Amino acid sequence: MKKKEAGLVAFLRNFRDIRLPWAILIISVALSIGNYFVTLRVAELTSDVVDKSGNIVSGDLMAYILSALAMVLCTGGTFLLSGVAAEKINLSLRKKLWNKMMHLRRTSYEADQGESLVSRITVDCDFASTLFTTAIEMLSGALGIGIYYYELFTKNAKISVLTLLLLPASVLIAFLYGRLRYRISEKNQQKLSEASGYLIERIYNLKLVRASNMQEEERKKGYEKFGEQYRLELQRGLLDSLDSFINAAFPVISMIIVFLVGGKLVNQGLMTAGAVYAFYLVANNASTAFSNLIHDFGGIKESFGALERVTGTLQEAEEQLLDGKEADECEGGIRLSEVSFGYSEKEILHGLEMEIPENEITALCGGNGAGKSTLFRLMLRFYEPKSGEIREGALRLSELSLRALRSGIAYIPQDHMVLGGTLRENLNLGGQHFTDEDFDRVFSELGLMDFVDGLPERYDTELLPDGANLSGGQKQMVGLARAVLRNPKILLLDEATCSLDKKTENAVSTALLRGMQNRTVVLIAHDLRMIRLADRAVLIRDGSVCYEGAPEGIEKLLGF
Amino acid sequence: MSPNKSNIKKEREGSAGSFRSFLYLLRHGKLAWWLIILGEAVSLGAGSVALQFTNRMSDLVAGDFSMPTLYRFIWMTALYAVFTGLSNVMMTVAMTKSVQRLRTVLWDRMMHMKLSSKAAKKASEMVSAINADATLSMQYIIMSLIGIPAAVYFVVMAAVQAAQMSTRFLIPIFCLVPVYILYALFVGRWNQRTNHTVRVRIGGLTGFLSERLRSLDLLKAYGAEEEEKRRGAETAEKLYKENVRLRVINTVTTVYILLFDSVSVVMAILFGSSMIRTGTLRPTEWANFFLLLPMVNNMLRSASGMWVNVCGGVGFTSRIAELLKTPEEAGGTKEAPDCGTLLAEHVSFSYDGKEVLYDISLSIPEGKTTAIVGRSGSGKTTILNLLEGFYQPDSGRILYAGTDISEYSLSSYRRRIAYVQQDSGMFSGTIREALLYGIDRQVSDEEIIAALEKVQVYEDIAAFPGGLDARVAIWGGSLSGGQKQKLVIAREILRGTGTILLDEPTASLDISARKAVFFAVREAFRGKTLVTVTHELQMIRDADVIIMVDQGRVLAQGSHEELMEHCSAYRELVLECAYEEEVEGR
Repeated sequence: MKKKEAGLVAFLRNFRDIRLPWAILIISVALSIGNYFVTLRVAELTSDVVDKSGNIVSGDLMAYILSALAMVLCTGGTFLLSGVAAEKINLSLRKKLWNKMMHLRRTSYEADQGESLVSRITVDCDFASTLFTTAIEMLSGALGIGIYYYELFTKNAKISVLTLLLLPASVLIAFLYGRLRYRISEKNQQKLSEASGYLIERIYNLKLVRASNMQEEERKKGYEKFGEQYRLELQRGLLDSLDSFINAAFPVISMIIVFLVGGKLVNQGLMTAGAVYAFYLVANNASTAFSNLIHDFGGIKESFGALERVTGTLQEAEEQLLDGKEADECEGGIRLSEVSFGYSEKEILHGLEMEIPENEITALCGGNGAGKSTLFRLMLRFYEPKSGEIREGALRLSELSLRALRSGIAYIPQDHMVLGGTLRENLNLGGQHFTDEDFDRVFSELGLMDFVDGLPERYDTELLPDGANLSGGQKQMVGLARAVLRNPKILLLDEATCSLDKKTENAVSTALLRGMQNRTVVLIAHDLRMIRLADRAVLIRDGSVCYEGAPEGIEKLLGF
Repeated sequence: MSPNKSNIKKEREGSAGSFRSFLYLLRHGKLAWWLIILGEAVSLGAGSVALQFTNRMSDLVAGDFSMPTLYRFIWMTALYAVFTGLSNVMMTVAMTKSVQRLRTVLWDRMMHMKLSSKAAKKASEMVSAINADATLSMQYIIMSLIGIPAAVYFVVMAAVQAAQMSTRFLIPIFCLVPVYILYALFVGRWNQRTNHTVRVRIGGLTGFLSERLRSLDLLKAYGAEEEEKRRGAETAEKLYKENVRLRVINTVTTVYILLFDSVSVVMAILFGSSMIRTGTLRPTEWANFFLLLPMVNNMLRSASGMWVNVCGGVGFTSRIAELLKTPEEAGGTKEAPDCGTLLAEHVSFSYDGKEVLYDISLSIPEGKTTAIVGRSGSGKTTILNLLEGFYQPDSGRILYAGTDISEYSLSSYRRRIAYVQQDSGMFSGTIREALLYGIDRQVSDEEIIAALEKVQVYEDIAAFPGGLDARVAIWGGSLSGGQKQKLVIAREILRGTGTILLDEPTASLDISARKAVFFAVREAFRGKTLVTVTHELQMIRDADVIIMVDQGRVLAQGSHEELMEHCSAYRELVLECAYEEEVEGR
């Protein structure tokens, strides 16, 4: 419990720089309080109507209509305003969280693949605002209960006390029941996800089932899983039914008390039938308000989970883009000395020593998982080395500001290099303002003008998310052009031409490297032709450099 | 404006189709009809009890607080609570049971549907059909099947009772009916449509966010954080606007309903008071009607709400109906022989309306090794799918041991022809289970170990905690690529089929694993008919027959030497493969 409170405090602290829509929230609370008084008035009038057996004057009717109208308006108003307030809070939190994500360190998102971070924004933020709106609802609900009970006490203290006694019992039951339900649902969730795991695996690999002649067996196994799912879902459904039954039971019991005790009073001539009915109406409202309160309480507990996740993300460490020196003072090649690194406990690079001379083309070679892409990530400071250091000229990379470091490097990743938006937006990524002439120049230098001419609206062609309307080769063309446009000091190519067909690849890589003659280029090579284009070649094996020198040397090493 | 319109249009078309799919599901979804009927009976009972309950309460409201009336009231109240709870339970049982039965129907369909069908290609949709859609569509269907008749029944009974007191009471009831019909037809739809737009927006936001988060490396490398912040805010604001609209609409619908609630009460007062004044109505009767009207109101509201939900469940039901309508695989009756030559004669095949293979003919000699080579996208995997009988040729035929394969029974044919897809891996479970998948005879541990040793993976397996009983994670996640592939080959050794089709057995492996798998394959299937789709130079050279495929056509068929001499495309391919292998380092 204590831990949760700490979470709550931390969570509220996240809202320090978010402007909450207080005005709207206050008006909505005021409206909901107004609603309680109107409801009381309606009950009063109804009791009159009942006592007079419908034999009423038009003034009463008018009052009734007006109060009913006021009630409708108050309810509608509360509904709308608290809704809008919730949405405003959601929006602010979403924006804040998104801004945060833009500055997360790579360690915070590498394993995620965007999956759960996305649901922080799309799903969890909704829960966070429910915390606010529900808290306010609970506040006004508690007030409402107070108002109703005051009214009940003035009407008849005896019945009020009796119905009031129900409250602690209902709280206790709701609490115990909630725990039971939570425990059962937690256990079920595990089993349910196992069952659906089985299904997913089969469905994604129907061909294996068929090729192994296992349809009949899998069919039977599937039936078993469905039986299991059925039992668990039934259990859950019945628990839900029981929940609604318990929820319904309290108003019913209080109704019975009201009519039973009220009836005696009527028989003794101490109360009118209409008064009992009005009492029933108010008591009914009170118990509804009360069960809402308990329900809200459950909702708040539910939102704690979401809140913890949101807080967790907001408290992650951020990259500081501007801290550190500007780049202009650093000249010279890149030197890695005794660099060790691993994503987890397992080290990928062990005390790696390597030289990347300025204005030369260096080819990195090595098998899958040798750590070539990891080296790029270290150079871009997505990660810091566990030990050792990387220098650019005389400066350690860690002394440079991230903005300065990264703006000097053009990096072409292996995949995910096209974003949804126009080709122009893609090329101008990072707030650049290149002109069409710049684009034309770069594409024609690279010999890729055919690609642009083939697009329906050239630079204004809309590209789908992840470049879904481009081929793998075309995506790489976009990535290449983007990098070259920036005329960077350092160019990092991570198998940047591997999806092009061989002929284009040849032409592009030749043109690219010709254009980059007075630049530092590091390329991860995937065939011999690329290596031959380089000035130097480095072979990485088992986490350290096992060859560094002329490209021909590597060929020899490979046994040519 | 125009995308909005087309959206609405689509939805309209959808709702017409949805009703058909709704009926289709009723017919073919194997609903738990007995439970539904039982649930219906309990719900109708609950309606009757509700009516009685109102009558007892009206006695009290009219001022009769005698003990017998009070006890009758309490008894009725308890009964009412029990019936409501019971009908709730029955609904749950009927729903879950129907979901289970619908799932079995869907599962049967998935086990046997044609793999070339549209539905079979969308695995994620199948998963959501069997998990989420089945639950949601049944929820709507059962709720409306049980709930709507029960509500209508209650309203009719109430109307009859009201009419017995005074026919004038029918007027407020009949005034309420069009209000809710209007609600069901328009207001609810309006609500639903906005809901839909919100879902689209959430989808848009999710899509945007997940794309950007996947590409965070790129954004950071190019310093695009600021502009993406702005863009993210814009997308979130679009969702906000839609959400606020939804709130407004929700408010309007709530106000609409509350308003007519009050209108109906005012009507009851008006009619009642004038009739009591003229003496045509007793106070108890009036009280009865006064209490009845809100209940009628409630019932109508829930029925129209259910109807709106049914209309909203369109997507779920139509997706399931589409799955159920997918055709099944059909085979012949002949028993396939243990081995034989595979022949394709003038086979053409199109997939998704795009022609993939044009009039190809090839022959795969018995007991020899055949390699199918070509660039990616040239149709190599499709050839294997056709040979395994997963797809049927549009024209031409495929012969096995001289007989068209469509004449063999599917299970006997596939028992003879094994097919290992690229990266197909294995299902989660123990290693033993993975190795014996699809093997229906008793296999001793010695035999398993022998097979594992043959592909040189036994040492690895023995080192796992539990050995053969070690658990394989989902998608084979706990194994390396090489281990997985070797296990798959060991599995095929144990199955011992005469013909094995292998799709790129080494494609996703690193160089040392590639070599190991190559030797494992060569060792494992000596003397068998082996067909391999591959880019591995060593494997290609090693094959007795090479089939060169390019853009859906067979360019040449023959030995390595023959093709090197006559086929320039093949020569080029071999050169490329050589480069790639050399650079990886040995």
